[in-house]
Amino acid sequence: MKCEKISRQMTALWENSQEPSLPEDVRRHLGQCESCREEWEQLSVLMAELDAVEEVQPSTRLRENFYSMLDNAKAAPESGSGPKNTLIEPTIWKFTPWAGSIAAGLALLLAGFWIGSQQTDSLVESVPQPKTVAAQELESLQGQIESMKEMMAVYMMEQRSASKRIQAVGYTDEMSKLSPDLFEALRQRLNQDDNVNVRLASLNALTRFAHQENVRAALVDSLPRQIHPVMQIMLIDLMVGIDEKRAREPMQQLLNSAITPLEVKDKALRGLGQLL
Amino acid sequence: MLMLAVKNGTLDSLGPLFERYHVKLFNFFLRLTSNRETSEDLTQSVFQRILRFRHTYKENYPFRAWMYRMARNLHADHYRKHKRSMETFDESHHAEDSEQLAVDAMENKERKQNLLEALHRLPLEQRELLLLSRFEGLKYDEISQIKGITVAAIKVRVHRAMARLREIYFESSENGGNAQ
Ligand SMILES: [Zn+2]
Repeated sequence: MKCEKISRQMTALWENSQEPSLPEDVRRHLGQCESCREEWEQLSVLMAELDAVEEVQPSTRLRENFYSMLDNAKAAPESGSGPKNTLIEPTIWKFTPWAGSIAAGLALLLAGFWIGSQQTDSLVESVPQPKTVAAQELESLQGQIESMKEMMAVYMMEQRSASKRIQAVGYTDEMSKLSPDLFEALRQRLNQDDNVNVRLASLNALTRFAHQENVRAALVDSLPRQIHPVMQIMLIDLMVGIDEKRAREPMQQLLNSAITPLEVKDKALRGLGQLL
Repeated sequence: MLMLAVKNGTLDSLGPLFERYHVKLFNFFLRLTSNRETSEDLTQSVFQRILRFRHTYKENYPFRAWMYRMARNLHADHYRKHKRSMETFDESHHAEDSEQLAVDAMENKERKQNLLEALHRLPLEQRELLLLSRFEGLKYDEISQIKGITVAAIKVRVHRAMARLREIYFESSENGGNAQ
């Protein structure tokens, strides 16, 4: 009985460990019990052998196939439809970069810089080495591009066409930081745009920055302002996902309100159970 | 957070998830099936399913557990479809090799081969469990979520699987198993 318990203890020591140390009582037992000692030795050899098995690399075909599948899925986002997508007109999601309203020269300039900035991105990520002067220049260029793109995005978010506004919101995908102007513009789109697709796109854009306190607060604040069930459900999902307990109150209000659709109430109820 | 973005329509966020996990998944399948091509196909299928069922992803559910759950299901489907051919392959493969390997031993490559052989002689359920806990580095509570049984039960099963693997690997199983 004692040996069996020790044996179980010994196996458990290897959970997520490559060199576990023996607790004192096990060590003492091993000093007296040869069969357990042998078991420990075998276990150690076996675990070391298991850990030494090298990973095999898949062929390049796998990566190629994956990204072409992803591209296909992006071209037809409605195909994997769940309950949410059915309520949204799918065509608006198509994203055409730099539509005609922007001066062609500027677009070209940006495209050139963008390619440059992408290249430095991958460099910086793969090899962490001291920055060269060129890298510093590129970095400062990147900063300039980002603020230019940001200006364009903020500006374009005011356009009359909903699809243009969605496009503008989409530009923020490439931005690593959320400036106060951009934040304000996205917040306005999220709460006040009369097109649900624009509101949804803004929510997605802000979600990327949901680790920032100001963004979280704005998202909590947005929940009672939303009247479309898709927006309500997405926001509740997000609040639960980021464990934002301040959302409990607006969720409770949705639950209590007579005009809240049943599916949203259901979501809110489950969300409240998760946000404890 | 990445999967939440995928769920909410930012499909590009699946890219980083693919980069992070595809080699692990591929190796998981490879050790289950011993077939590269099948393993690549299965890996691809996992990501296909993730895309297709992204709306069912629960925010509070750890992504890794969710992903391996799909991986297990896919492999189970595959296994059911190809059971006959795999069994014949496995048997002929092991009957001859294991004795020979027991005699040979000790050279590094052969030891590794020996180990993989031993793994393949485990019942599928035990092999899968060791792959998840040892190769994929999952914690017991993650495995418990994947398999839908308690952590305590996982502990017991890992223990049994390890005992069995030890027996096979060190060829001490001649006089009957003692791992229950
Ligand atoms: Zn003992």
